[in-house]
Amino acid sequence: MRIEKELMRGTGPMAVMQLLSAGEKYGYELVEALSKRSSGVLAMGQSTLYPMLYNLEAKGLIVSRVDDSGTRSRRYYRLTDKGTRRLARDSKQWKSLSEAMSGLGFGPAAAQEGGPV
Amino acid sequence: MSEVIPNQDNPSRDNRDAKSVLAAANLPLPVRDLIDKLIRKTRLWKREKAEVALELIAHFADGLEAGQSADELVAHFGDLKTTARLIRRGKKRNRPLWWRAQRRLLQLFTAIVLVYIGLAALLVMRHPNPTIDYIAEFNRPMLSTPVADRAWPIYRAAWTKAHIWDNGAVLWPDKERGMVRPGEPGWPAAAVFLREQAPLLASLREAVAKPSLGWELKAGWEAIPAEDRAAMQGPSTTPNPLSAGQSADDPLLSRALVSVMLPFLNPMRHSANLLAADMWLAASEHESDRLLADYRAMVGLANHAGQCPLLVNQFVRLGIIALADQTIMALNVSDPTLLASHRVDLLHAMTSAEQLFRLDISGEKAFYMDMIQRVYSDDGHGDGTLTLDGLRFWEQMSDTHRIRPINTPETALRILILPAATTLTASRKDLTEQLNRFYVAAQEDAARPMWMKGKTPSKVDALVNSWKPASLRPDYYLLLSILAPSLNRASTTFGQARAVHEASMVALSLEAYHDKAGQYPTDLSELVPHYLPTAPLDYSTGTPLRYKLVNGKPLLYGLGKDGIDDGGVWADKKNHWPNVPATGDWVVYPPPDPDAN
Repeated sequence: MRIEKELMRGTGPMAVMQLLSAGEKYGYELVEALSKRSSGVLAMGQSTLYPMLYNLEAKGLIVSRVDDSGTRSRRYYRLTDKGTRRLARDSKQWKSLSEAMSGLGFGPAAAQEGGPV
Repeated sequence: MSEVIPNQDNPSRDNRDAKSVLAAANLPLPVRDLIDKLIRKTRLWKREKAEVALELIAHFADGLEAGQSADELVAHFGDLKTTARLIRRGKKRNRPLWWRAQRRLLQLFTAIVLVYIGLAALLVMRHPNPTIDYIAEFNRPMLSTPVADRAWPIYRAAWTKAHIWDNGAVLWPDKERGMVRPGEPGWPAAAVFLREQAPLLASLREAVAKPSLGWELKAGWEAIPAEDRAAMQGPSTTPNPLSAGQSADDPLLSRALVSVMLPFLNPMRHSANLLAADMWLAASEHESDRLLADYRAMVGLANHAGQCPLLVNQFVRLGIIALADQTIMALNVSDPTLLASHRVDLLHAMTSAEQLFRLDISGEKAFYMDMIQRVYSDDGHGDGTLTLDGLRFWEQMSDTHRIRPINTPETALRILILPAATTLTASRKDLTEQLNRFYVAAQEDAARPMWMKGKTPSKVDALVNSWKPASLRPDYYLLLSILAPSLNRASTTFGQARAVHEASMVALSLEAYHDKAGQYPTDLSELVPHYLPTAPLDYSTGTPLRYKLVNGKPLLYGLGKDGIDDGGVWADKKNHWPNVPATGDWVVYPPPDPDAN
């Protein structure tokens, strides 16, 4: 299942920052990780990912570096302190939102009880 | 899968462009084409394009290495145009601060320009709509006068016959010294000339007896009947310099007060000089009846000149009556017995002339109101904004009434400056309110005694000073503030002339007293009430006028600006009589000798 664009607009950057919180990654790694770890739900192509990375970089939430030591030149991205703080804040808000939505009958528990998923 | 791209250096370091980076990449053709098209669509800087190209090359190479085909990768890439736009936006956000600041400034400037153009378009659609015909209002009193009570036909006939436009140069053989007087080398020729002018002078005495001047104000020289023009300019076919370029078709100028011509003022001034010269001739011929008639004619001439309430008319009126008074003073000084038989009649004539010293500024206010209605639009509620036609009108006002032909470059320039001019000048409502306040203040100033004027700031000055923040913007009140000095000056000039006029009456009263009592009074209070209604004042201090006898002759003086009694000595070398001196006394009778001054 693919997420609607409007929903993705908020969750996409958070998902990317979450992945980068484990350590620096280059673009293709991020595409692969998003697809695999979200079972394809948060999969995004390069046409979405790279503009998003550039925007996060412009906001100072991530920084990039070029590594020419490998077989090909890669641009690696990692979270900044500001990005870390933003991720922590967004995660907290997401958790609250998720709990609130669960209370309304969304989520796994509700699905088991026959509510909306 | 084998290695698809060689190791690449950072493009920001080696300054390679996207094309060379892409050419060096060992990618399938469809992928390379895709990246090439995308990069070109981003329209980024060269370095930025190379960075994006490198990143996408690595990305596709990773995809191919992971087992995806080139066609799959291209098919899943997404919309090229949208991606290019998003990448461009993201990369631009990473540009240096100076670039972003410059871009914001450019955006701001563009927005201001667009707003300015919009405002100009809005203002260009507004037009003045003059609703009050001030020329008709000025003409109403004259037009309601019976034709038989109008003096203009007599003036016209007399001036035409006497060739007033080319008459009397003999009276000024030396222009530096002023009009010739008896005893001077040029006087015999002047006397001959004056005797030849007897018919003109008789006509002038007849004309001034009419209650109304009878001149109908018209906008533009061409609007004046040819017969009237010829009476003042002669039969010359040379156009009047003021008429050059004028057009009766211009809707704003055709009924504007600023276009009103007052060509009769010069012949009137000249007629006054002839009458003054004839007073000297009459005195030398001991014809005191004619002398008195000439004085009365000058009073009547001054009255006619000032019937139009514009300031210029009032200055001419004042100039004529001041000339008459100064001639009387000079005659009285030269031979006090000369006027003996007509002193009382002369005093009566001088008393009747007192109303000519009142400064009326209603005409100036009307002039300004007329300008406002021709420069501003009218929203029907007393407000409006500067208009394109108004700007043209405004420019013409400072261009000796000449109409500038409408041409495209000038119009374009006016459209360009219209919004700025609107912002930098007061609205119609604001300007009208300030104009009303200005003229109330000017009327109060004009009514203040002359001696109060130098002691406290004028109300007009106080009002103009209250505009200081607005006046930082030049012409905010459209030159209203520059009227203040001219009105203050007019008020002072009128006050001084009145003081001299009253001093002349005191001098005549002293001689009349002397005729009767055989000696001058010891105090001016002795002249009241038989010769004067009240004790005369020193207009420079508001205290009683000083009087003493010097060599058996009366001397009348005020204390001047310093308020110190110097015994009647004119000591100010910079100020010329009859201006109030800064130092020494303000001698009003007899007038100080100009050569000694």
